[in-house]
Amino acid sequence: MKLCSKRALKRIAIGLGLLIGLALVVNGVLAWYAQYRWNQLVADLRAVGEPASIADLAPQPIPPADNAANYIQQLTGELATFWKDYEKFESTPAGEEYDRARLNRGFPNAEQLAAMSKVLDDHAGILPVLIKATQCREYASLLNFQLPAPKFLESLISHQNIGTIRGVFNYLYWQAAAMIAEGKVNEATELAIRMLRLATLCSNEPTIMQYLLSIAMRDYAYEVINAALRAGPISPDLRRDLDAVLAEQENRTPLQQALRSERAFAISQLEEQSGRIPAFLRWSITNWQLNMIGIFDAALTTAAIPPGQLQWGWNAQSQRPIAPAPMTQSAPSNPLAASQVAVLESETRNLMISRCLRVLNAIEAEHQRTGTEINRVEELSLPREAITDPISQKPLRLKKTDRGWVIYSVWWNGVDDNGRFNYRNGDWGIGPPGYPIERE
Amino acid sequence: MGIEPIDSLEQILAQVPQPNAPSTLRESVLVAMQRELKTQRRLRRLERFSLAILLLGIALNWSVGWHDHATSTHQTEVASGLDSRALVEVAVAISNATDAETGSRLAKQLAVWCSMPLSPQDMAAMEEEIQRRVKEGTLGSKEGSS
Repeated sequence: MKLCSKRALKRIAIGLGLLIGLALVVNGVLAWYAQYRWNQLVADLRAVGEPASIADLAPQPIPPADNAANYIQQLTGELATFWKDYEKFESTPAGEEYDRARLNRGFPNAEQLAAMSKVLDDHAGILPVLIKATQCREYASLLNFQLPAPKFLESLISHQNIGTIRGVFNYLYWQAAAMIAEGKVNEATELAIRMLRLATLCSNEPTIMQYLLSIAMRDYAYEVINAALRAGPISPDLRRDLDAVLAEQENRTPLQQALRSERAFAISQLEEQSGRIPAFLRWSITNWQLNMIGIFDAALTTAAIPPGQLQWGWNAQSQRPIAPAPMTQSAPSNPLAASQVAVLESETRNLMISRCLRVLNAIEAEHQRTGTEINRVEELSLPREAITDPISQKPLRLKKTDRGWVIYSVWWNGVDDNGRFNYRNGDWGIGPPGYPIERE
Repeated sequence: MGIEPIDSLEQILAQVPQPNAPSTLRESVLVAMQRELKTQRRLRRLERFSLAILLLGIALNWSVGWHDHATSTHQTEVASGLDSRALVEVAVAISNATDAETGSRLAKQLAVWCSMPLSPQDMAAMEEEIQRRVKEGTLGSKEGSS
């Protein structure tokens, strides 16, 4: 009896040992394979010259005199003081009134202009440095690319970084608004061209967050261009320059670079985060990480497709656009996929607004040259893509009002609402000052 | 343990002069002995096999961990020096290029990535601030542009 139970215990022990051993082998194989796939992914990216870590994102150094980032950095302290004065003005009754007017594309009245001019005069030293920044053709980020991911992210989103960039464009916007209010339309257009070039250059900062910031900053330039073109005739040379800088917005390379830099950042971020878990227990997380990084392939493929071939859809129930294939395949509930779709949406809006402004510029040029008005957007001597709505792939819509032209896209819902501007469920585009916009 | 005595017992039994036991009993004893010996050998093999599997499993897991340690780029968690004001600023700027929902979602994501110690109350307050500032459109939001 005793022998029998001893033998049974021995059998149980052997069985358990076998089970544990097999489980360890299976776990080891899975852990090794997941790690192998991850290492292979990183190696494959590097083999084709793509960045696969934050360190890989470090730009080639360029002479400080040619680097727009260098000039912006010089102004960090001065822009912080300007920012405080800007906020002080915003909190005054005149500032609040100006904010409300700005929502309807309004420009400052005499009282507001006087207050703004005082702030600008107090910080007159900023403009010459910013002009040098706008003359640069290159932008090499000055961030420390050797930092661990959380610290790197902190430096990216610090007030010093984001606040400075926003300070730059608010300062330039105020300068341009003052110029328009004073009737200096050519000067304002020239400054807006510089602003647009600088905002586009700023997309060389890594991650899609910085790319979205760059798009938001381009809006400041668009606002000035829209107002300047309507405020009075500008010189033919400036019109040519303006059309050229707006046409540069057709370039998909900055978007692709932003997505690649986000992927490199995500690789570092995921590696560092999962590193807290012992390697042999990490395989399920590594597999999840591989799926995450795979989402970038869909976004990059979509970003490489010419805008004329992208087919956007519309979900009437959620009142949200449906991203074009292959981005559609990514789960919309996934935060990473959702942020990439948001980038594609912003990029499309940016492209649409730049095309609307090209159309407005061409209409005004035609009117300036011949004194006649056009009836259809196709009558303009612009390339086909410049007059095409990047969402419906049909010509942009025109509407003549007492105060000027409304040029618009049928927007995400695909329905022409006769120029009723509503960002969620209407049309979107450019209009004259005071043209109504439905708020959500 | 227990294998050698059985082996020697087999030899001893082979040397013992044939007793006068009935042949049927002899046969059944021999069959039982054979069975017992087979079982012992099978157990011995199984024991070795499970030991080998166990060692292989440990070695595999150890090697994955060792390789990871050798090539590690992992950093220890660092407390964030950011405050929620910076996040709100980013969210408002992003909302201007996208919408308030995207801006606020990104801010929450950034808070997690930066290991920012934000309570649910902090998160709610931050979201409220984002919504307020984006609605006001004080910063050249898309509503204000073009």
